[in-house]
Amino acid sequence: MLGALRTGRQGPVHRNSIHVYLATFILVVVTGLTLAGCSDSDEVEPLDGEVTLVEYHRALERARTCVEEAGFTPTGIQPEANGVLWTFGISDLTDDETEKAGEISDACIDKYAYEAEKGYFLANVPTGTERDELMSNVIECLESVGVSNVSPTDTREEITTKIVDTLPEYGPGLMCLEQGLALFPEVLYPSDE
Amino acid sequence: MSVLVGRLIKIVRSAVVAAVSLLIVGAIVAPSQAAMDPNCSLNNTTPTDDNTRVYITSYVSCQTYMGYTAVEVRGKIQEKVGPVWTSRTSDKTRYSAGTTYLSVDSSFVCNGHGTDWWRGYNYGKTSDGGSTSKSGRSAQLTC
Repeated sequence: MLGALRTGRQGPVHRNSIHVYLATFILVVVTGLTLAGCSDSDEVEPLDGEVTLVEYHRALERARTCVEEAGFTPTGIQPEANGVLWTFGISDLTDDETEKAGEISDACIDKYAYEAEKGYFLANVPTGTERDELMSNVIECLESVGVSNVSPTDTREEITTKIVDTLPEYGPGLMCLEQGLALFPEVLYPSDE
Repeated sequence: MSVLVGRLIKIVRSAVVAAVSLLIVGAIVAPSQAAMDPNCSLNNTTPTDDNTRVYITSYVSCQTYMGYTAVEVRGKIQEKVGPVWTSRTSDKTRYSAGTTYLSVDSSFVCNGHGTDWWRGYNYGKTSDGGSTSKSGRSAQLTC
């Protein structure tokens, strides 16, 4: 083909065919290089020491890309009500797609973001006066929605009991408890895990 | 030499035209995907229990009435059985004509299930018709 190009003897139709072949070849090469670049970013970033917010977000972005490459449309990452963790969803799923999308999302997060998320969360578990302050905020929130008699030494189960016994629609109480998720890290990351 | 350069220019031009055509075709063929309006977010509370039942709340929260608002929220509770998340409740759904906060509570008897992982699975829709689905944070609970 290159020999024919050099001699310049081919007619217009033949020349056009060569153009199409070469254009396709260039597209394939460019696409291949692009995909090769993507596969580099697919690698799980090794974490060394305390996980920063930047590293955590980078890991979540990788998980998002993984979901996107599986053919779904992830939302942007957004903060959760607990004030520490972030999350993303998947847009516009049909009922038939829900299960598959959930499996893909779980697998992508496990692969790319789980370790970073765990590291970041555990690095932000409050202790001492910070913990006392967070517990006070949770108790104040609960009182504002009508749940009283919560003690700073109450377990998560005890607080839950007081919420569901007091509020027929317990959502506002659970929202207050969610703000104190970092008070009970063993719920997300048990020590025997 | 100039002939070769001319042909190379034509080839590159053809490649650009082909690429643009592919992009246009892709944009036409690709199904429309619409997320919930960015004014709103979908979440659920981390599962918690009182040693008898596990509880979650699924909610769509919107920042202002100025943008699109929440019109539907659904939530259900899932338990991890082996490696598989299994739905323990069917969807509970709440609708609205349009509000900045729409929530629905779900609960399930976990007594007798021992120590297991639980989570909520949610769906939210905003008044522009966009929707988002999301699995919530999982928690290990002992009932």
